[in-house]
Amino acid sequence: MKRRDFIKRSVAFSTVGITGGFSFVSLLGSNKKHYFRPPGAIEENQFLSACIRCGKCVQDCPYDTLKLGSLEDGLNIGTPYIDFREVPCQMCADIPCITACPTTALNHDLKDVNKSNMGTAVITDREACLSLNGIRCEICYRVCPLTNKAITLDKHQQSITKKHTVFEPVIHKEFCTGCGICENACPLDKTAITVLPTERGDKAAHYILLREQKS
Amino acid sequence: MNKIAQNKWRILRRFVQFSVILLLLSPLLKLSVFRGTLISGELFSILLVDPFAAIDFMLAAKTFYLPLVIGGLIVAVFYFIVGGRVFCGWVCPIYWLSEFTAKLHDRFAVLNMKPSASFKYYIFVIFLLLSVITSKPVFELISPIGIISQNIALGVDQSQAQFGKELTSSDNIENSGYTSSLMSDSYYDWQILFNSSLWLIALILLIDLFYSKGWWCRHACPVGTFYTLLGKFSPVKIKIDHVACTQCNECFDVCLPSNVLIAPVQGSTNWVIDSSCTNCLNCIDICPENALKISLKIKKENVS
Repeated sequence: MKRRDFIKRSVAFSTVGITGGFSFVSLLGSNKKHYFRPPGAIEENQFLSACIRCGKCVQDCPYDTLKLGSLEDGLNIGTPYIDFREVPCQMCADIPCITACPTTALNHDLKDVNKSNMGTAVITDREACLSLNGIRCEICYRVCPLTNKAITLDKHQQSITKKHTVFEPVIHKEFCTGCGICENACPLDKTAITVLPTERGDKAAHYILLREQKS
Repeated sequence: MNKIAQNKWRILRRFVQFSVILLLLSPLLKLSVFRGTLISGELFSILLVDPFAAIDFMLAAKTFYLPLVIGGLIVAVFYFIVGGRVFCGWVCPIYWLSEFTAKLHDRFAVLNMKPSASFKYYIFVIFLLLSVITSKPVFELISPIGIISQNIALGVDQSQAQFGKELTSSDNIENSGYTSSLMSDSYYDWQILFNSSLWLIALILLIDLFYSKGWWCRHACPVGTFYTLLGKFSPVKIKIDHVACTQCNECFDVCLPSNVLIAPVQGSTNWVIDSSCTNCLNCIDICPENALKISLKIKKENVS
């Protein structure tokens, strides 16, 4: 009887301990990854406050773009996020994820999906980019849903042959919604074009100042 | 036949609990009845929100959002009318699991800790305060109700997306021009299992099983505590017939929030007035004298 009791106690203690320890380590583990949110998501800190983790947007996303944060995502557990390399945002005109949201985490005033701002695409690897190497790739330009607005092609002479043209994709921050279709379509294993958070260094302050000083 | 009559409330309750799970699964079955989870959903396109989640949102985000408040109020009024913790007893899948582990607890128990009656109110206040201080809806992060309903409603959906090719390629992804070549191989491993938030539910159930009978549902869950407070004055209560009651105490054994029956059976009141009662009606089924029945408590009555 005593031995049975001992086994019972140790089984109970170890299973509860392992599950408890495991979930708390995962839940509290810091995660520095940036989570890309659905269209219309408000500023990240406010988003984490306003999202009640109901998962409706994930359910209503017709392309399974939105994933639900899990245990390893710490504070982001239960929040929606996008992995562009898996399935990018398809920019539905009726924006079902915003309609689904019961709180203010997704801005209900956003009616035009082309005005959303999930991030900004950036050419992160100029050396690997096929187009910049003079190869007729330009896939990112052709898949972009905002053709000739978010990505344009800047044509200039190829410096090696002096005969051919380089079609350089140039991204325009003011139009780019960060849907990630270009990142998804990039043929390289590690993409040359990547969606980054929009909040990055802002040159405007310095730039305008310089201009004002000159005039 | 007699057996069905003896268990009629239990059978009805299991039917309701099962229908809730079917409702959560209905979008997968392409039925447009219910969408969403138990935190927030749309029943016939009426927005419903768990009132505790709505309070949590307003404390954390410090904003007032009308559709959310209306959705929360509809749910709150409904549960006020049918009796507070009816949500626990008849809807919540965690309570169902908890009833199951409570049965097993008698065999596997190592301890049976019984926190004091005020413990759950402390937990309730602590969660609300944490939401205010951290500006995050803290309870919604770990809410087992949210986790389990998400896993039911989206689980199949998500694992389809993750397990890739065979299941999803037929409609959406292929038509939209995306092959799922990137989504296949690396996911055929244990990763999904280890990342799953279901671990939190496993933890709750293991504590239930070994250390404290019905721990989460009786002593901790702030949603349950919210409905306890809400149900204080709700009209649907269990009435006891003191003439018929022989004080055999059989009802105590089937009652998960077990101390709610003590006062009425011992004769101090006519009603189960403690709103921790989930109106699961197990006691009515078990009572050999039919001394208990469900009725409306509208007027105040004197103690007989």
